[in-house]
Amino acid sequence: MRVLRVHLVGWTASFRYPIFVTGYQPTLPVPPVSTIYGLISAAKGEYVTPQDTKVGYVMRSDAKGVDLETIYMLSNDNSVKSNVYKREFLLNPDLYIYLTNLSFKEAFKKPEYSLLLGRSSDLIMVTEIKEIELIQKHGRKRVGGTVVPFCEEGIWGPLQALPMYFSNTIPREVIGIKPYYVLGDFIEYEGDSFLYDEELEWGVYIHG
Amino acid sequence: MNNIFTYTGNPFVDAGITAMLVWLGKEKPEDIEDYEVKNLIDEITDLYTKDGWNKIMYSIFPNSKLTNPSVKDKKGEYTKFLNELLSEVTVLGNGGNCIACGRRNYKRQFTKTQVPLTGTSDFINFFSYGKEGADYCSVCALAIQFSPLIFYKAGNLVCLQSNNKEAEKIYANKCKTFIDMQKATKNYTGCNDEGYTNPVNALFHLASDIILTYDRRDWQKDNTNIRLYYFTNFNQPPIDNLSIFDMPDKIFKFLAYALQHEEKDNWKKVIKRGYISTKKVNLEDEEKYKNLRNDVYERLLRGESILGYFVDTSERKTLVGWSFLEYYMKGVRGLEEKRLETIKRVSDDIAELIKAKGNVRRLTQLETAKTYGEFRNVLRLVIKDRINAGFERPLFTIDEYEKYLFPEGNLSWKETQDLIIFRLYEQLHNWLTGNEEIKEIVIGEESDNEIEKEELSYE
Ligand SMILES: [Zn+2]
Repeated sequence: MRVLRVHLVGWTASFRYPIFVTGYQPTLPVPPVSTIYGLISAAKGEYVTPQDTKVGYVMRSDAKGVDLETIYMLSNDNSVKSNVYKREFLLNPDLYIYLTNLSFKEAFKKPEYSLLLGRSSDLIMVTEIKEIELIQKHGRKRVGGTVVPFCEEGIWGPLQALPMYFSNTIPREVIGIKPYYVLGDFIEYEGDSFLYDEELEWGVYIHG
Repeated sequence: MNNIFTYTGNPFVDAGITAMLVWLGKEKPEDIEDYEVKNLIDEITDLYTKDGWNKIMYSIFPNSKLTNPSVKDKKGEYTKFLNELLSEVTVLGNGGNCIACGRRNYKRQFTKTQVPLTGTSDFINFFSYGKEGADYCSVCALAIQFSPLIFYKAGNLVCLQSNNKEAEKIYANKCKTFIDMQKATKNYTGCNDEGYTNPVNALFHLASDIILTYDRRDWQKDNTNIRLYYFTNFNQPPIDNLSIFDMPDKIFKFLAYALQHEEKDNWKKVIKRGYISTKKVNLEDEEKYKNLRNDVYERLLRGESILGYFVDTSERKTLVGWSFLEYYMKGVRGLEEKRLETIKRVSDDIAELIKAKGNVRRLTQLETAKTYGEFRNVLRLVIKDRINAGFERPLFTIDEYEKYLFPEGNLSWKETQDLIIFRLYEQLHNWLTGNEEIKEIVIGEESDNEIEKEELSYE
């Protein structure tokens, strides 16, 4: 399958667990699919959904750290209080995204909005845009750095309910929430549900 | 009406579903019927309003009908709330905006009062589009109400989650037995509490319990990872009110291997060596040490080596056998089979030479080598010794050296050293301690720090 592969790197990244609003804010080791669609939308400058392109991705990082940050809590009576949170972040994020729609090449060459992996301070930059061939490789392959829908045979890992993308309505709604295995680390996988990137020697799960 | 529940990946919803499955003796979430949930509502409202349980509810559902002092009829009010949710139950659809199941729409928002760690309406900027809480459908919110049945108390509360739903059920069954006992004795003490306050130790304890409950089960066939959400949802929570502890499948499998192995008592000795304490601890009395930090456990979770704990360097002996070590090195450390085989064969040849020549100094040199260069040089001396002693087979080939002994050179040399030392202790311990003449040499060696300098020069 011919795909567009975009390599992005940054200094920090953080992916909030959608279910926790609490004093300690852990980060997922890899972004949910919705973050990838958000990223593509920012590059394109338009709302992008799975109807526009399917996506796969592999993300790695060097370490996890904890930061203290001031937050502002807005109440329904319009009062604002400040507080301190502990927020986990990932160091040196390294992300490859795969798009089945090759026409997004131009968007990543000259992104419309700044590209982020988490909050507004988690800036990332594009280092390579390349058209490559993802192949079907039978037998064992290394897979990880991504999320995979729960119950996919031969995959295991911590579970989390995560969205696929968001609507662009007011209010914005989550679409396609389901349980995913969150593969922070790489595992050995035998099945055929992943395509294969020969150059980087890992499997790629295509969402959408 | 069934087909109302399904696993969601949300730890609290899934814990509630697992609790219901175990209490109802069912297999699949989809099999649970709404009228069965109605019966369980009586059970939990009864339980949660008992003193021992009600106290715990302050750190699960603060300000709720169960805990708010202004609510006089706690049981009645909470039952009413649960029945309201139940009356809103619909079957699973194909889509929806509930943030847990994604298969139904939410009817209202929920906060930490009904769903732990969800914040309050003082956080509206944290919720999607400034709503006053999180978007859960009534069914998922209802399921969450059952999750405390299988929370575990370890200082803070623990919500256990696994990709292996059978493992989750084994754990939940233990919780049910515990609660059944409370009911039988009318002594309601709250969630299962076995005196652990250290979450890492609690994680290993719970995993061990799951493994040993089904002793005959072949855990090696499954990939089971265990995750603990360690939290408190108290009204004024400390800033560290949530931590996540993961036991990856390879550690779980290793633990299963160790606990079902004939060497399980030796494994327990290894564990005991891992407890960190500044004062002497009585290791006969578990209560005295079970909440001390354990370096073996912590290293396993961090993905670091515990090889050092398998040998007793002061006595030059190993605590576990080679086959046990082999499982650990392959299963947990990911070492190649061929590498282990080569290291074992080379070590055995070195042991043979040391025995034949009575040359304990070589062992000492291998033990004390501080750099890759030093260690390599001792191996060179061993090769020379072997030639002098008339051994014909070389200690190793160039190919073996590069591929299997030191595949990453400087990076992997220490691991190779540790493995060679392990095998040498295993092969030589009896010979070293059982032979009076050798014992004398060994004692002489220890007082003799002068290692011949010229012999250790590099080439
Ligand atoms: Zn739901």
